[in-house]
Amino acid sequence: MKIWGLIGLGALLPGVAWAQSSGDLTRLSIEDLSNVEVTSVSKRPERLADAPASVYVLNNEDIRRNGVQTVAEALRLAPNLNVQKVDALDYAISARGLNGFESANKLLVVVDGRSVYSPFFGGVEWSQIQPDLTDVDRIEVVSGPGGTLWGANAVNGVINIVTRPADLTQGLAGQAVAGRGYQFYSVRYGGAVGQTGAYRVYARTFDRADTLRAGAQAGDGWRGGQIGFRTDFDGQSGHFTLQGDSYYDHVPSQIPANPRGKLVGDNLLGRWTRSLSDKSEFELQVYYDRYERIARGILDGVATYDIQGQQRLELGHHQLVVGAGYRRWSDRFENFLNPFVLDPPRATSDLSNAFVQDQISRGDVTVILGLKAEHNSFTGLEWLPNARLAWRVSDNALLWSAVSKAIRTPSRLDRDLVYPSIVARSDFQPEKLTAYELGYRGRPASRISVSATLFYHDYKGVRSNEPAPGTFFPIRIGNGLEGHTWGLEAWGDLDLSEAWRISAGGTTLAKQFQRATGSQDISNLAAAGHDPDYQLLVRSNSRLTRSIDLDVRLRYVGSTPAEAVSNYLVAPAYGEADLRLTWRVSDKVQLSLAGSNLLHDQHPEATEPRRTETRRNFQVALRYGW
Amino acid sequence: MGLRILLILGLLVCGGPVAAAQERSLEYPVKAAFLYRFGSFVDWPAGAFANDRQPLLICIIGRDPFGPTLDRLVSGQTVEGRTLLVRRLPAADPDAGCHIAYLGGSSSQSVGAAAHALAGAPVFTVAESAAPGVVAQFVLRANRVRFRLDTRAAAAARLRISSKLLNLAVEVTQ
Repeated sequence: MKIWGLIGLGALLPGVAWAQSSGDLTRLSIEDLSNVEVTSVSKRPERLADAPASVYVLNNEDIRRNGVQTVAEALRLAPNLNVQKVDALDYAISARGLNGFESANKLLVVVDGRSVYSPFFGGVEWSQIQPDLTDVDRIEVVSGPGGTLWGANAVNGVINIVTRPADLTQGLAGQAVAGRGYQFYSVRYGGAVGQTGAYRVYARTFDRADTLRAGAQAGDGWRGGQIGFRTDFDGQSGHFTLQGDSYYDHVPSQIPANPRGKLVGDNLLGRWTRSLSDKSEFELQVYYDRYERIARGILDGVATYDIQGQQRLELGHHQLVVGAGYRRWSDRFENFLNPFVLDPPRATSDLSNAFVQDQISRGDVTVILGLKAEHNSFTGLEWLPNARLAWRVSDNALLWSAVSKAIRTPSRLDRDLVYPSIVARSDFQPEKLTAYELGYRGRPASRISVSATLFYHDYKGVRSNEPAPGTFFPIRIGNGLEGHTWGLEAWGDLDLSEAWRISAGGTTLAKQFQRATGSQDISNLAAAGHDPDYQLLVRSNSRLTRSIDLDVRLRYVGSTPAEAVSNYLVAPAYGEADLRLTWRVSDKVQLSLAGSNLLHDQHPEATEPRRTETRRNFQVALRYGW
Repeated sequence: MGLRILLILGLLVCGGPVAAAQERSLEYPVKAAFLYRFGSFVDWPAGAFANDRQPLLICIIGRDPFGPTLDRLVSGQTVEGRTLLVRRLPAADPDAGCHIAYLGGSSSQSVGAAAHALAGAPVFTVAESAAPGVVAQFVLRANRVRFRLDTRAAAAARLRISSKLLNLAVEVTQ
């Protein structure tokens, strides 16, 4: 099973890795079966049904059947996420509210153990996350604080993207996809190395045309390519993984003097897992990641080094996890559009942590207690406790509750952004959340699985823009906002037959933010984001004949208001439908025809003034070996 | 903890002595799932099934390490529209109509002897050890259940194995 997936969710959610969807072994594909760890004690496989958290898992088949080509589009399948497409390049994605391109800074995203949350600007650059979805094993979407193991910035949620080990992706696979204003090609080859090793290499290229803004080409089209590899070895001294990716994209720079922008990056990750006994396991991971980008009138680049290790132990009723990590990154920032700069323009920052978590199981009750100490170079030491309680009411029902503290650490932009004589550097402190959750997960009937979570989030010290007393200027970024959100997340699957599954899910969100005593926030609560009150998703995956699949998706998203920030735009409520018909020509070849956003010619999803409209589209895809 | 694992798996409750001994391991539940899942990736020759509705017969020949786990797993499942049946036989019988046979071996008939007895019959044979005539052999790799495939044995049994299954095999003997 994927090591780091378990590191992350493992102790918090011991079973996600095993339970690909929501069921038992009969629901697993043959690749998934080949990936079940059979004798792990310290990482005991359990069903998703036993995870005491609000987690939705997209497996390879969910991704494949719904015909998505990017991670951001795949995340539309998760009912506990709100996805707003801003333009051809950008998305705003959040769980439990505070969404928006600027405000969605509380969702941690990890790809095979490598964090892609930027501590530099605070947030996730979705355009930089392009794992080969063909080989993605699963995407685990946790809404709510990630608990002890994930640490800082896993405030509103965690997305854990896990690719398959190389020995499960052997042979040749490829796909060619073309739609209106969109092309995508990828090829992967996997082979064996000696008796116990395997590798795969892949290459992909894509081209996206401009989207529409007010009926005109928005100038946001981009194209690029990526190559990468993964190797896995089993030896006497454990399991080794080495993997890396390299990409080069052409993006619009929006710099009049030099319109050609770019996005380039590389990463390399090594991981070593060793079982010391059947009750003890050790893991060590190291990675390097760097990117440089010229886009949106800005040049920025970050190089990151990260090392983390952890030890798992089983002692009687206790499952202990202790670990530590250190990350160091260097960044640079230049602005070509306006006088905003970072002071200093280049800096090196670091983040270190140590944590311990104990999972105690007694009969039908499991208690998880965790504590993490995290030190960041801006504000020093922070403590992050987490307590979870799960009660297995019956074979088919689990009740759980959790109380967690989570923080978002200051980014360089929060601290060091300067506009001479207008905006000055700040001493911005971490934003803090205390979250209360109550959940149910169960199978009320043999063909039905259900998950429901009630949450209450209490935020303190959220980012505000504070004018100087008396003189108004300079404005400083402060911690002047506070507020709370609450809501319900619920979803379920209904298997009408072996060949037909209906999945439905939705969320509601209520939100109240205000200025704390002493705050004069002039951003008008911008950091509280722009969120619909509710959204609903329904999908139907059916096998019409032995070789023909029909997949239908419907979504309805409530109106996304924009009253908080001047010149932002309301995104009216919308309903949309996607449809896909797949013909499996042979066990190697399949051809599919898909239509997306079929109900309207175009509709907006985001509230940013620069937003473009998402259009009705049709695509044809040919796949080999996937 | 034992009871908890049983609940978690939801598969092994009343699992008998074998399952109880392996309650901490998913090895045999996973192998049982493989056993019937293989059926989706194999084409049997004409005549192996009397008609489109005939169930796919899974035989456990000799030692049975699965117990009721296998029966629970396959109940209600279908492979290419066929329901699944499980039969347990003390020794290999080429006329028993097995489509997939797990050769557990026994004191009276070794795995090799069972494979030999089925030679030429259209049976997808599965075993834990290598023997002439065995099509699929379970192996453990990195704590996961994987398998080797022998395409010569498959050809002798007039079975066509899909390339997807061949790709997943840790080793293909030709």
